[in-house]
Amino acid sequence: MSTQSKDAVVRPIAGEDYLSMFEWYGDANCPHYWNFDRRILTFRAFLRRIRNLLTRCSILVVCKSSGGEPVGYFQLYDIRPWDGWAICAVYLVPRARDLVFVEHVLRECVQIAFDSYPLRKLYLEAPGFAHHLHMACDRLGFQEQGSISDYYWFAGRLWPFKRMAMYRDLWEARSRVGKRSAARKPSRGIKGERSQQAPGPQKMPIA
Amino acid sequence: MVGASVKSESGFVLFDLGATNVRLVAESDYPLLHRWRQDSSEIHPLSFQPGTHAAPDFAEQLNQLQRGNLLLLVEKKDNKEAVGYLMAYQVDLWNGWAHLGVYGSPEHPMRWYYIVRPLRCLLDFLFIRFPFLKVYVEIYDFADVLAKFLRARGWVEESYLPDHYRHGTNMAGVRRIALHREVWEKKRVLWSA
Repeated sequence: MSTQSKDAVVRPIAGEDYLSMFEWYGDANCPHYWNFDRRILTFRAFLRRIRNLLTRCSILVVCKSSGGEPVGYFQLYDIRPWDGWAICAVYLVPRARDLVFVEHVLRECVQIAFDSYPLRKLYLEAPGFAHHLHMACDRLGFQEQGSISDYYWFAGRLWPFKRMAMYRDLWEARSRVGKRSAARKPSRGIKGERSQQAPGPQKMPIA
Repeated sequence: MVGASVKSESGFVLFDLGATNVRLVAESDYPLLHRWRQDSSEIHPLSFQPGTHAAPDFAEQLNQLQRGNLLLLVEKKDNKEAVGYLMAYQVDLWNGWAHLGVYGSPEHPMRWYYIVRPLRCLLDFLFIRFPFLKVYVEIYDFADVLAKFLRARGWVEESYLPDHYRHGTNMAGVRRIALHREVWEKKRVLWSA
């Protein structure tokens, strides 16, 4: 399988994305940052909420590079320059939750966050039922910090809320190791190879 | 035990206790809260964001805060002098929890004497009136004494975030300490001892 089909494009929101975003907002099978409060909004009210969010957060749309289909979002919020951290949320539609793709998206997003802001560390918060995110965090070397038990009610039970942390120095050290090992290995074009490489610098537009 | 509720000119009195009144914050209290907010010597929920705020901006923040949260002023009953405030915020009834904020002004040497009983009443109020499973308090490393005080009264540490808050030249961690409903029910006797 070509790695190209697993690659993601992370880009700013465009006008035509809002309908897809409204669909993601309505995903009750895997609640995420936008719909944790369980409100049911009209499309117009949803637009108001997103515009309001955009005054305080950075939101980028994640697309499959093949075809450019939008499949989720990456959001950076609670950005605290004085303390040197921010929190990110990642949502991907069910068909884009295979581990290799999730890991690739998360790697891109972390790189964008560290490139765009002088953060010391980046948190990712995800409820206990978002297994795809936790597995990708584990593979990328996130540390669990400050998880809370019995925090969110979903599917008939309370779930923990996991907070994963990635430090800049650890991330950069890993990227350097990744670059060195990628330079040593001959290119074979197999699945997952790209995930070993350090991503190139990208600049994040501040919404 | 929650005391009788009475009206006062400056705001609805929620708990009428022996030495203190605990009442809803009124707009006439905003200048005082603004003064506390600008005091950088101690970190509290209203001063968590660094920097200064112009009074009108801060008033707007307080108006917004009061829409979904409970902000209470603790004042001495004899001279109506405000000692501190209590706050229930990020109230999440769906998931059964809320956060508590507690502040005693350093201008009052016996501030904790005046704050502890109102805090106990607020906990009773929250657990009796609302279906909360637990309430949280976030405590920074530099206020570890408070964490010890609460742990001794049945609160449990649920999480710890290291390197989370810049305090002077150091980074401090923050603990999330929780009081669960079942513990509150058992410990009420201890609290009132």
